[in-house]
Amino acid sequence: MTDKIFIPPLEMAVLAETGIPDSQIELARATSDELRGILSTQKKKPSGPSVHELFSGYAKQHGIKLEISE
Amino acid sequence: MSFYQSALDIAAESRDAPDSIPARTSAILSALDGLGRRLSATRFLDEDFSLSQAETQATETDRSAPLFGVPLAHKELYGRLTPAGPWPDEGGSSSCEGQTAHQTAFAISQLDKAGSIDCGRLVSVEYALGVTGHNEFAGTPKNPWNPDYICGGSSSGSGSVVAAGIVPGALGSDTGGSIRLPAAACGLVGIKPTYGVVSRSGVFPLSHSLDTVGPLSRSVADGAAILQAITGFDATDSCSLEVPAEDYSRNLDKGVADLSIGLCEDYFLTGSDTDMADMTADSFALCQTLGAKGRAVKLSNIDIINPLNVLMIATEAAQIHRTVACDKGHMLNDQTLMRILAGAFTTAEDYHVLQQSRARAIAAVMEEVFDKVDILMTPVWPFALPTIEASDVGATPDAAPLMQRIGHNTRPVNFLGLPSVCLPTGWDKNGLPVSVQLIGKPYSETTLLQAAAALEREYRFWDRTPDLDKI
Repeated sequence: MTDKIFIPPLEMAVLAETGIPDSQIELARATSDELRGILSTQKKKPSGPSVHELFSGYAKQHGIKLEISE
Repeated sequence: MSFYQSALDIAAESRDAPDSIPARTSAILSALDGLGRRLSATRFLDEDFSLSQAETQATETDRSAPLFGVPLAHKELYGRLTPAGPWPDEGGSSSCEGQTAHQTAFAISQLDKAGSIDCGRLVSVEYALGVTGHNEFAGTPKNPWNPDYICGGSSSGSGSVVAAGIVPGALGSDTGGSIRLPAAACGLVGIKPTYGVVSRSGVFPLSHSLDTVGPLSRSVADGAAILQAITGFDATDSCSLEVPAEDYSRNLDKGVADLSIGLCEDYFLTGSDTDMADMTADSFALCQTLGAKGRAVKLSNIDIINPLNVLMIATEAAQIHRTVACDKGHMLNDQTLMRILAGAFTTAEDYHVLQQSRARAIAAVMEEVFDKVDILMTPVWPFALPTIEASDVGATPDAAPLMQRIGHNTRPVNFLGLPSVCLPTGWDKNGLPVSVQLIGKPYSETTLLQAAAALEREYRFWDRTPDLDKI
């Protein structure tokens, strides 16, 4: 999705107008907080190649291996 | 019509007697309409289209296509346009009722080119967002081995219909285990290909960077043949990669003597019930008996991968489906709605960190595992299959934490983008199938299928079929 525009997070005020029960919104918010809390341990770690770049590289390596084996 | 024919046998028979193709297709459509609906697995049939495909194949002079005349049916997420109009594209959800396909899915077009007959669509969990197979709107498919038990999800209809022997294979989709979990629950071979190998164009999306497309089949050879047919670069899928073409079936008879296989006790075995872990260890020992080198491996930070994958799915699902979730939330299952909304609070910075974490995890697993072994063996289900009733989170909210555990062994594979093949190796305490998962380095599908075929010859799972009189 790196080449797509990322849609910003939903505002609670917007959600409140949808008619979705508060209990479900709260549960979703709590789940998000828990998961993003785990993610926060990964911040400030060094950046490297993207997933797509990694797999492009693996594909090239695999192609070379195939050529050699043939 | 004889049930339980392999795809390759049907293709051979069709080449010898092309006149048999329409009759076989007609019989299969009847079975999908009868047994398939009794299993709550059949979603959509288009007899006119399927029979016209069969008639065209019957008059084809070139019969060399690899899946010539082979009837397949697929998860309902796969789009199809026909001369009479598009097929439904409802994502297993009442929120999309009446929606139709915008295009024929790339994988479906590839199967058309390979000579297969498209016999319709099979039930999916709503938005492919669930691992038990429950679907209040489209139906909850029953497991042919025992109809009280779940098929797993989200490719639940695919698992049910293939296990019932109606068709030899079906496409599913896998974002956290949705091919492998139903394949394992139903005693089938499931293949989750490497990131970028099979295009997802025209498939109802859940998570842009994690969704993968692959087959469920009753044999390794059939799975390899279907995978072969659907691969290929597709510029319309931004995750598709130009991967060198290779013959996935070329090593099926080779055995495992040239392979090294790893077992990771931490997380995969310790996170599974003892009986599941023991059966995996038995399969690991069997591989060594067959000549493979066995080795214990460790994976650092594996614990964090599962929750990060859950966040990735939720975030990308929210990017795609949040408008529907907000406008038609009352039409969605509570679990589906909650999981989509949980991803709607993710910031762009969070998402960037998530993608970077994923890339680091991939690089780490390559070094820690796949520099040492060719294959990592794990259980698929972490515990014995539950019944449909016991795992209905809607009716039994207490079941929710247990259900969260179902993807324990499968979700990390999606996050890591690796290929994986699962196959049945035995039976649980309730007489339902148990499988192992073989995970490989990127683009090692041929090696995984080589090992799976060797195990398949030992376990001879195909000697047994479910008692369909119970259905």
